[in-house]
Amino acid sequence: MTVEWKAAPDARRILVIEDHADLRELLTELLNAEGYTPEACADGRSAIERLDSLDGGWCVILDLHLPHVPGIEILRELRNRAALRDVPVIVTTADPHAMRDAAELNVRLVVKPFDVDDLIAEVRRACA
Amino acid sequence: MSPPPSGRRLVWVVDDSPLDAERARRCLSSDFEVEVFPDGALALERLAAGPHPDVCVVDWMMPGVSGIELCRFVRSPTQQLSHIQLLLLTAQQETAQIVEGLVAGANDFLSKPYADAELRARVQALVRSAALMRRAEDAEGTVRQLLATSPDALLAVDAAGVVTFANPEAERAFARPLREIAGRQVSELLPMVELGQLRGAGETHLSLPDMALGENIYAPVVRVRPPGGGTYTVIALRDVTKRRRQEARRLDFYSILAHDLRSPLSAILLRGDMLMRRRGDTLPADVLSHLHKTQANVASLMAMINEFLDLARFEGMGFVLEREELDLVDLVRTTAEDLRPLAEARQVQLQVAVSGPVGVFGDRGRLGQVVANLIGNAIKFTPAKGTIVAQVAVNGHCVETSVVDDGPGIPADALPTIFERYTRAVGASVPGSGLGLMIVREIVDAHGGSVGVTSTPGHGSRFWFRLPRTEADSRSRPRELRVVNQ
Repeated sequence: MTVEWKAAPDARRILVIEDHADLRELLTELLNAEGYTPEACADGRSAIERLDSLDGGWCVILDLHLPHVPGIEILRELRNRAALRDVPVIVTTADPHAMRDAAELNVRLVVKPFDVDDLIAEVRRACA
Repeated sequence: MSPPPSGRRLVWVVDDSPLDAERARRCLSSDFEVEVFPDGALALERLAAGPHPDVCVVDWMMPGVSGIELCRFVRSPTQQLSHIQLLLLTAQQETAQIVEGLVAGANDFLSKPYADAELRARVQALVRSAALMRRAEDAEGTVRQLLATSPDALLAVDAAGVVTFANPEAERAFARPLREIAGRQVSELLPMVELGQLRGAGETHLSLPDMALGENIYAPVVRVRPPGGGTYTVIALRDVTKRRRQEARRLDFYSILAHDLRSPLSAILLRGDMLMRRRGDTLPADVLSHLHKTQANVASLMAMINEFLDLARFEGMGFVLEREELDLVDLVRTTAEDLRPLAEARQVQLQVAVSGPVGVFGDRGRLGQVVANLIGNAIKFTPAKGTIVAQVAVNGHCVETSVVDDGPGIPADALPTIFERYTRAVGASVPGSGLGLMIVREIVDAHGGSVGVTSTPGHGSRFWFRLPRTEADSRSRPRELRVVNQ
């Protein structure tokens, strides 16, 4: 499947929370190329701090396995804040069984290793 | 109670008449070790000191402590002398008196004058009863001791869900005395055990998820006796607190390790992917081919890491099944549909031969994984133009799901160990099926089912798993198969 390139699909900004440096760089690069405005966090603690400056116009790509604060805690924190309750979240995990309550927490799951098209398609759906 | 050194059983004669006592002694001494007491008081003293006789022949009419009083003393619950058999001798035979003697605790009755042979025969009969009683008491003592020393907490539950028995370990586990456990509904003690649901599942041997009681973690095992003939359920709770903590630490370690391995692999895949997408049309064909193969290898390495972590998880936390009532036929059908594109890509025909629905009580995600693994393997190992048939067949209280292929089959030497954990047949000629089948077995085991395979090299393989089904009527005839989807 190929994804048609769009100049500016959405004004949404995307926060990438990923501890693996190269994956973080890759995701940022990829989202940039797709016309989004990505920012990145390398660990759970800085991600929690970063939540304060987010609003409903953001989308979050979240790795579950993070140093300091696990991804699931960040997700709960996000859903507990009225302003961020409806922010689209894409959880990237290598473990398909990691998030049995994905529906409950209103997240989209992308199982690693993901392919570029699948991830972009998911981001587009989330930001639609 | 212990026999005298002669090995013969001890019999006491308690009679205030020296003539009668001597007659009884002579009559019995050929078969027994006989001791004579001239009055009841002396016999009472000796009862306190022991050793005790198997049988005590007691004259009713005695000055001081009478025969009937001696009987009452021996039978009083505080004395714990119930193993002594009492034969009451009386001068007359009146119903009222016999009744009074038996009520007082005598085992048998003989009126004077008696024939020697009759006294001997009656004492022998009582010695036999004493022996039987001893045996029963020994057996009961052994069972009681076993239950008391059992490292597992044990509960017996009747058909109405009432706890009828609990051993000392159960008292410790629930931190309540026996009187607060027995007689209660099991659901009050273990709200997480749905016995009705378990019985409905038609299973007799169940492993449930760990449960916490107070500070400790217990692994429950439930045996449900089939209905009829006194339905009851036995629940054994093993304290696994320490083991689970160790396992949790190990699992944490595995997950961190797996995550650390997966992140760079994901990055490699993603980079390769981007390279092919952005430069695919400018790269030389041979470079592109190398890139494709690299990607495929990294992907399979990733799959192996995931399987490894899955397996570690099964072994570890006594992994939790999220069970629900589900239609296995529907699950097989949808899983097969998910895999149909893969089958078509490999030019393998995938047939689904099911008629449904068939209810099972299981974890939808995990059972889907089992079906996907078996069909996926079949697709992987069946050459182009081959055929795979997935079937679901009800047989009694079981339902068997099987995946049959006409691929190359599996060598006989690999079959016995194909589902075994950490075992691969020496020189196994089955590539890449290592961890997947172990996971299949773990999942099916956890559902109280079984797995198996039959295979003929050159003619294909048949992998199957059986699960208990939940229909109330589990004795229906095997259902006929109907091909509904080709």
